[in-house]
Amino acid sequence: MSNRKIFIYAENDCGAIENSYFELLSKAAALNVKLTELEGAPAQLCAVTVGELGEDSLNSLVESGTDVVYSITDESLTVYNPAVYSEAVAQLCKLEEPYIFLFASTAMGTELAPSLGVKLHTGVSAHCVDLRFDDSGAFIQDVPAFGGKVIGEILTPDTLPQIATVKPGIFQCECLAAKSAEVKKFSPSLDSTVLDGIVLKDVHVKDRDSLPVEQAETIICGGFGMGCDENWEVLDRIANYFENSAVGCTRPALDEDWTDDDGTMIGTSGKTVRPKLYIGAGISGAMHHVCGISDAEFIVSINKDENADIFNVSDIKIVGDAVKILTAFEERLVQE
Amino acid sequence: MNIGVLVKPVPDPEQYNSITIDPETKRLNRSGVPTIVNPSDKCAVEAALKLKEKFGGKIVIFTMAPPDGREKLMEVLAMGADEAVLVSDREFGGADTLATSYTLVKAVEKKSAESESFDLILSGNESADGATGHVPAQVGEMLGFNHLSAIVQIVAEGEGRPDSLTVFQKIENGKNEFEIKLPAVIGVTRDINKPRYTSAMGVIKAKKKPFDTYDCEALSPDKSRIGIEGSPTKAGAIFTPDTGRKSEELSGSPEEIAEELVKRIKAIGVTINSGGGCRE
Amino acid sequence: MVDFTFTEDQEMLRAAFREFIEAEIAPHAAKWDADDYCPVELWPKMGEVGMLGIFVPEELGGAGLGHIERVMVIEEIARHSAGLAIAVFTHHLCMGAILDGASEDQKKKYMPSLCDGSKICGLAVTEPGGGSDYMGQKTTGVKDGEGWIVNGRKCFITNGGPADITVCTAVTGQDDRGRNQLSCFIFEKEDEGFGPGRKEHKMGLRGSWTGDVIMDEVRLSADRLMGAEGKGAGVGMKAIGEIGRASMSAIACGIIRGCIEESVKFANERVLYGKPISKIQAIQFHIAEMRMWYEASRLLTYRAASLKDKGQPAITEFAMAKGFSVDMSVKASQNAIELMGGYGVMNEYPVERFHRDALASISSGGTTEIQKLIIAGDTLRAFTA
Repeated sequence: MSNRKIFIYAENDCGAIENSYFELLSKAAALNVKLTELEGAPAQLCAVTVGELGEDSLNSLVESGTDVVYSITDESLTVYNPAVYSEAVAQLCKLEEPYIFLFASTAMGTELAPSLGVKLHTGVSAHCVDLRFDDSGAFIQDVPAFGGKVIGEILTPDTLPQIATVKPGIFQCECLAAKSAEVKKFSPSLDSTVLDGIVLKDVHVKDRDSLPVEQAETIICGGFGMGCDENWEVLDRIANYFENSAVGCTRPALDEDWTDDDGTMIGTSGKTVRPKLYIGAGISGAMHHVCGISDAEFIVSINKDENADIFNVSDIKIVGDAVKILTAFEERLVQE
Repeated sequence: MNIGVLVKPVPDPEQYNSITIDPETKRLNRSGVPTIVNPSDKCAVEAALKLKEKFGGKIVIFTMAPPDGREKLMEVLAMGADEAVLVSDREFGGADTLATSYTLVKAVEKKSAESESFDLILSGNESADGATGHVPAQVGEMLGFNHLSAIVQIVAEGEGRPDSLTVFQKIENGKNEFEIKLPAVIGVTRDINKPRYTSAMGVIKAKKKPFDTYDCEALSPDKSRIGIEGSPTKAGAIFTPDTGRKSEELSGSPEEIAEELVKRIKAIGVTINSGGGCRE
Repeated sequence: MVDFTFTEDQEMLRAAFREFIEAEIAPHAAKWDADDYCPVELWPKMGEVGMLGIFVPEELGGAGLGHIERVMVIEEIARHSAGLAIAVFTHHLCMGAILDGASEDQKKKYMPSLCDGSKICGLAVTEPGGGSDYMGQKTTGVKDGEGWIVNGRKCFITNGGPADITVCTAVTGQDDRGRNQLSCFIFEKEDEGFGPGRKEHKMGLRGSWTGDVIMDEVRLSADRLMGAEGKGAGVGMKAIGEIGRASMSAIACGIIRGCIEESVKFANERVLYGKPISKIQAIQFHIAEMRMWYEASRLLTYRAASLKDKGQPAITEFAMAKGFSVDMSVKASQNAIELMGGYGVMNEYPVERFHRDALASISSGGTTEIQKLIIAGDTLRAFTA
């Protein structure tokens, strides 16, 4: 094993490890394969966690397939404080000199990574959608720009660590060969000026109202093919499984009074939407609806007419009864 | 309360679909896409105006941009900001977030030295084009101010200039409530407010407000920390992701289709929450 | 030399108004048309951004700008809602008459609240006998001690329903050759015997209130007489000739622009025989025509407004702008409908509304024939070799 270290920030969510860590670890393991090819030896994979972890969580880190777990603890780290956390992590980095440092681009990751960039005088790439080594060994970080319309390669050739934040959910979790990682405790030295600038007073867990469709990241949209009032409710139930989601409708569904919220109508005379995911159910694809969804990143359409126009503008085509497919989909979502 | 607001002109995000990459030169072609004030930066200006209405003081806008950035600064002055500083020099070009933050910090420090120091620096949490969200944190680090990103609400209580602010930060499953001591840097998201409309009266006043342009000489920065040279990250190739719609058919029983659909949805990075507890 | 560019401030203003209009007006325009609803609740908001008092001096609560900027406001509103545009310009029309004819005290009393939008106003001149027989009107104002008693009925009055303040013309006497002399009076909503009558149902320009205004033995104190007794004809005429026609021209420009924007959007999105119809020459011809009509209408309109800003007479220029641009808006909206085929007549798309608005604009401020009479009169004088 080489002296190179790939750090992966394991987010500590009230004593439990955020899933994004496992995604990043899976990717790091894949990167290590290429690194081994290039360098003859793999890098060390290191989980970095801040604050006390429950025993189960610590075990899940130890057995996650990483080589080392750095556990940074201090009484000042029991509550999240970005200033203290980034200072603590920076001190560890100065000591251990990682080669690469990966964060999930969560609220926490997107705050810590750029702070660390300043403290360590190095580059940070944001919201990466892919990471790879090229044949010269350069670490290439693909970042989206212009709302994802363009992808740009970012390199940090001269400074270390090469810090990247990665969109959660981009990388699949793979089960790595279990091994027992070495746990290294680290106690940072934190002076009071860092400590009391920011105080976390409270955490408010959301109870969310439905979002306006134009702000939603996932839209479940129903059309005339939903058939009747009672069938409409499945759209709401499915939307509940997605963050920042909303239910949309077409003009005919509105005219049928299956929904009374005309603010959710999508199309020329309604809203233009640009969600990450759009699922259209029972929609034929009249132009004045299609205009409103053309900027969606990913379009799934369900219609019983296999020649429906909507399929021409869809990423995924499902021919079938909208209600039956949605019902099966909901049953599958329950298992998540 | 003296507030600095960091503002960036960006190509209008409503028209990102018409941005292309020239197949020959591999350069970005954004011709015909108008430049606007970055939407969340406008929210930062609005937040500053609200704080000024309560506590008094002045609002200074900072933009690092080519000379035509002046136009966008005028827009923000028309909204009601008091002064503007255009940080503009060829030598600043090609900066990544670290070099940009450094350059902005030099400008903020120069302005502070010339008049009064700032109690608060506000900025949009991220720009619509690059969307790194790094600048508020990095400016905060470099100024030695407390800093927080992704703020959706600022509560300023009491009379007179406050020592600290209560702010709410957007996190995955809700909000963190922080108390942050001033001076501070705060990155705000578009959830924080709806920026006011610019009035005709505001437009007329804009031109009469103090306007400074700082070039490289004026800031006398450490040249190893600005522009392309001062940027630890380098840009490699750019490409457009394949966005052609494949109309790929999923077939099988409804259950099989559902199974495959879940897989596809996860593959594009959309999170499915267990229990369907996302919405009421 | 001639400079056809707007100033930086004017461009900024246009951008600022556009932002307001796209957020507060555009999304509701179709519904206001369908319901024939005048969105009175928007007045304070429009007042705040300075649209209402745009051409009014600052000391009276306005932005202190000119007629070019005022025309800009109307054009931008009409791009999305010609109906609201006519209501807003009628507000301007009455303000223009007050600025022109009222005493300083009257201006101070009325203008600030009209600028900030807390009050709505209108100008009532037209009578059942027809708008163009201006001097033949039947409404009378009779001296009553220090004050006046006014009787009569005005028709086709925009803002007649919602207006808090209405300036009306009335016959207050005859000159020594027996010709009517008109005076202007300021009415307030609360005046006894004064109020709106029947509301008309228009084919277009819906979303503005148009109908009768009735004066039944309305007693007015002396301070309601606007300008000198018997000198009111000019005030009303000038407001209509310069603000009214300028606005109708601006509305037509807005309609044409709306038609172009909708047509271009449609032509780029509508795919026929495997390619967008914008690639078809016949479609391009339609679009090119609309563009020519738009640019020509705009040049006439803004030139006339710039003359007015310079303090030069612009009655003929506004007549040309009005006559031409309204005719062109009718043609452009028909073009847009033809271009869009079946979709053009569906209310999912705004062009059918634009067409109705264009047709309804023909008579407002005088038909094209009336404009031609004005233009011909001037031409026969001015072009005598």
